[in-house]
Amino acid sequence: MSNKSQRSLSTTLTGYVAIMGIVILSATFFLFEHYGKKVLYDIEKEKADLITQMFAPQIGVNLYLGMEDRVIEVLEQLVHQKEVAGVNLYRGSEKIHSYQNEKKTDTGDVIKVLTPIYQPGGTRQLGKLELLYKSDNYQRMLTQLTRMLLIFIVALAFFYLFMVYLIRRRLYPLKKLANSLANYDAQNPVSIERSSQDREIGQIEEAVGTMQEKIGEYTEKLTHMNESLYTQVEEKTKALWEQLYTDSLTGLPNRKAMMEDLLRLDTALLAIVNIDDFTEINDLYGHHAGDEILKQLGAKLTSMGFDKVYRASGDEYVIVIKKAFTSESAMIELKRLREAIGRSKFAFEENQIDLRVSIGASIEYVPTIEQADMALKEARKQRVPLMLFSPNWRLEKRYKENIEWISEIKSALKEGRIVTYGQPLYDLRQKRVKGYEMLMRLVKRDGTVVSPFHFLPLAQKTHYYPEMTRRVVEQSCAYFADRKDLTFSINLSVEDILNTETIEFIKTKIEEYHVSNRIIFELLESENIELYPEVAAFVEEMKNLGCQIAIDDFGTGYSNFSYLMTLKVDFLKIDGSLIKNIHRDRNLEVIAETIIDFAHKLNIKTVAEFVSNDQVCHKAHQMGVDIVQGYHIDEPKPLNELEKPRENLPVCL
Amino acid sequence: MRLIVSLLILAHAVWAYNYNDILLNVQSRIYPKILLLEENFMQRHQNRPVVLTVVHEKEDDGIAAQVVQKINEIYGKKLGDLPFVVENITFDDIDTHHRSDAYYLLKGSEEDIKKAVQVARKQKVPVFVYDFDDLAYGGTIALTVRRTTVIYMNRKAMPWIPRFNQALYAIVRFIDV
Repeated sequence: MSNKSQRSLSTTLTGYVAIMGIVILSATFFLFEHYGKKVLYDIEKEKADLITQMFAPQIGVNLYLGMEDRVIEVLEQLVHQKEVAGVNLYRGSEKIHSYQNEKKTDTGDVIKVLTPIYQPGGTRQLGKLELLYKSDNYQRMLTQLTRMLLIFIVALAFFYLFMVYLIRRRLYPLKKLANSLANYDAQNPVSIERSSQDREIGQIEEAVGTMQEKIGEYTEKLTHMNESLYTQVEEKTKALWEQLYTDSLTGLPNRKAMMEDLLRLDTALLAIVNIDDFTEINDLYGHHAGDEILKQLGAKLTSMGFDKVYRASGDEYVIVIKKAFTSESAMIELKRLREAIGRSKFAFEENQIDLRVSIGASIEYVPTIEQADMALKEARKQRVPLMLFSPNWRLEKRYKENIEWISEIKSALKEGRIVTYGQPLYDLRQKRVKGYEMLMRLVKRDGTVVSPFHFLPLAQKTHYYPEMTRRVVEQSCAYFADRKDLTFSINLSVEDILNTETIEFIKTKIEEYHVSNRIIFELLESENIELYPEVAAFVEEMKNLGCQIAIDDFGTGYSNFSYLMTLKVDFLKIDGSLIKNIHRDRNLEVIAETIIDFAHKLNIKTVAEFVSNDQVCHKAHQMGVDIVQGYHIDEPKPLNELEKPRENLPVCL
Repeated sequence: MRLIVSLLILAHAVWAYNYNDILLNVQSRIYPKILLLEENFMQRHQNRPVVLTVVHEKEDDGIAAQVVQKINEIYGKKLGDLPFVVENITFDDIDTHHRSDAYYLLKGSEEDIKKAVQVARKQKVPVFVYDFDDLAYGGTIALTVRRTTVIYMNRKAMPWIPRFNQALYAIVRFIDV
């Protein structure tokens, strides 16, 4: 609330009275100064005029008749008038008579009135009569008027003070009421007595009293309602929490509760208990039986005194024993658990059901549910009821996988299953497929096409890798030898460039298939290519042959822009991570714009990878990207399907 | 012969009235001006000369001539913008056939004064008198010079004379004789 609205009513009213007083006073002063004084002066001047008019004809006729003695007599008569201070008679500009009243004026001020004297009955001016009229009366009236004004001011001041007193007195009951209500509390109503004689204020006081009673009643009702609601909300919240963290069937903590608890778990035995052939129970006795058995098993596990028991899912329970275990002691504990379950009687209606369970467990320093799950799967695989997680399983698995991949690569090379796929590069300016990026694929014996993501990092550590690169180079050059309107790009790693035999092979193939002006070598920015002089030498040699150079995945690392100029790069392939969300992330847009702008200034063309939809495609086009590539344009295809026209071109093209 | 002339002169001097030169001068200067204070005087005398007749006894012939000369000197035969003629005539010669715009009566017997007044009244013109006492015989206006100059106007004679400017009435003293 503003200060203005907080100003008290009495202050406002007294303010209005003060303003009114000032206005009245100003108006009075104005009238006094501009009219009062003038009116008084005019009255006195008129008197002087009247006297002059009375004497002027006599003086005129005497002057006319040349009766100088009579003129003097009249002037003396005139000067003896009590209001006259003096009289002067002029003929032309010459003063011919001058008389002063012996009785001086009080103030010395006079009102001068100059009247022409004419020949009686004619228009000839005989002279001028100057009357010096005493201003005593005027000054006296002025003093009286000033005194009256002062009396008026004093009266006005008294009136103002009286009004202030009156306003404050009349409004005091309201102020008192406001002060009382300032500390109002619905629980402790303020006692308000009718103190004002004013009917309106008295009505307000009564109304406030009535209002207090009603507020008190409503407050009491609201308090009861709030208490009731608070209890209901509390109960409901508790129920919801229980529902959220409790399994409704068994009453045990559910998987959500388990996942939160496990975040704080360290040394412990964590075991998953899974009912064997639970589906058979459901099938034989029905789902009601299954549910009943699950409840009974939950109760059994709870009764066994474990630190925690959870129902993780369907027929799986998780138990936690918070203490350190060795493999042996853990196995003893798990056997004891399994046997205890085996001995227990589970029944549905009149049917007794025997339960067998499989248990996978972990006693790692920080056991995880994944480890226990892995152990359970291993137990199933090995058809044993109990299994403890072993950390060696992961290394062994990876080693085994590597052996399998190397074997796969070897056989694939031998059987010609290292093949080349091509993905189109669409030129947004020329509105056509300008060329293709050649991609390595491994085709398994079952026909599954495997992306290099799965095997290339491993392959680069073997002596098979140079041969794999050469396969791609050979197949690509052979395919594009006769397709002279298309370019093709081949990814080369630093390993490839450092391998002189591979480089020689590449040069031979370029020459053999005459593709030097259409082949583009894509180098990965992330491989720190600028650190290898061999890379610079290779680039220079290839550029001399007419080949072009592209930097792949640009923008992911600490991009060193200077080497782009050193290597005389022809294309920048902006990394997919910058492109795929460019239509909805302003930061990515700014980075990409910077790269595009920079590239264009160096006369380097830009390629947007990972163009996955129309919006990205439109955005890339709008930002000035030269070439787009991605699944939205077309997916990578084997060479024999490469030039099959796509059924529906994307809208953005 | 010289004796005869001397006796005649003496006799003339014995029978002639005495005049106050100052009063004559003042009256000669003021009476014509009073004449100009008649209402509509100028309109009534369009291009017609204003005539003032000095009436006197045969013995005051010399005084009358002096008065005429004096007035002519003062006014130069012009009263305002009008031609001004000053004549003199004796009480014996005056009759109703004589035309004048005002009469200035020097000293005379009661009969002579009344005779001149009758003539003036018939013409409805003012009668200025040298002697204040002559107002009693019907003179209209008299002038005395004592402590100050005073103009008197005979209220009873007013029906026979034209109206004067109000300013004149403010300064004159009315008398009822």
